[in-house]
Amino acid sequence: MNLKKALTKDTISLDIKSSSKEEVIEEMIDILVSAGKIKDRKSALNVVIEREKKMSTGMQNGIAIPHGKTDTVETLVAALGVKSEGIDFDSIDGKPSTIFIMTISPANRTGPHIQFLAEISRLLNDPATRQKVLTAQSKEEVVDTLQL
Amino acid sequence: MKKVQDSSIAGERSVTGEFEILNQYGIHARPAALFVKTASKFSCEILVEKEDTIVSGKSIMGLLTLEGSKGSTLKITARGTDAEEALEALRTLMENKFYED
Repeated sequence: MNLKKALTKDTISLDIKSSSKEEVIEEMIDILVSAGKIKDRKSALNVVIEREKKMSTGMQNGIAIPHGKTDTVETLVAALGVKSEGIDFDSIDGKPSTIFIMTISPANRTGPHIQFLAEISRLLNDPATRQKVLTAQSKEEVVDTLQL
Repeated sequence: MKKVQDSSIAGERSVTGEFEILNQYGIHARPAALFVKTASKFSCEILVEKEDTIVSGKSIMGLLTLEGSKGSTLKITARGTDAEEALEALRTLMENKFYED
C-alpha cells in the first residue's frame, strides 16, 4: 500500500536526461520538488548524497535505489526514473543502472522505507516486469505494469 | 540462536543455520548489499528463507523482499564445496549487526 501511495504518475520520469550519478540524483530530487512532494530541496539532496557516500545504492540488474532520511518530509515520498541506456552508478554487479527508485522518508521511522523497498523489490525482481518498465512508452504503462 | 545442520547429499556439502536479525533497522539496502557481497565471494549456492519465502542470498532485491526486521529469523542454507565457509562468513556478518548501529 505504501508503494501505491508514494509512487504516482507525477513522480515518474521515463526520460532521465542526466548521464552521471550526481546529476541523476539531482534530477530525481527535482521531480519530487516539482510534484510538490519535497519542500526543502537542499536537505533532501544532502541526505541522499551522504547516504550514497556510505555505500552505493546501485544494486543488481540495473536497479538503483538512492534514498535518504530527513525530517523535512512528513511521510515517505518516492520517484521512479528510467534511463534505458544506463548510467554508471557504481553498482554492486558493475552493470549500468537503468531504473532508479528514489525514496525520501522521515528520519525517525524506518518501517515505511523497509516496507516500500520490499514492495518495489517484489515487482522489479521479475525480469519481465523490469523489461516492461524499461520499454514503457508512457507513464500510464508504468503505472499499469506496477499496478499502482 | 544458531542451529547448524550438516548433510551431504550425493557428495555435495550442505549446511543450514538459523540466525536472528540483530541490527536495529533490519535488512534494508545496505545490509542486503553487504550480505550479497559476502555471499558472492563463495561459489556455493546460498538460499535465504523467512516465513516460507525463499530467495537467493546473492540477490539484493531478493533479500529486500523478505522485509527482515530486527528480531526476525533468517534460515540460511549453503550448498556446495565452500558451503561451510560461506555460512560462517554470513553468521559473522549477522552477529556483528552488519557493522552498523
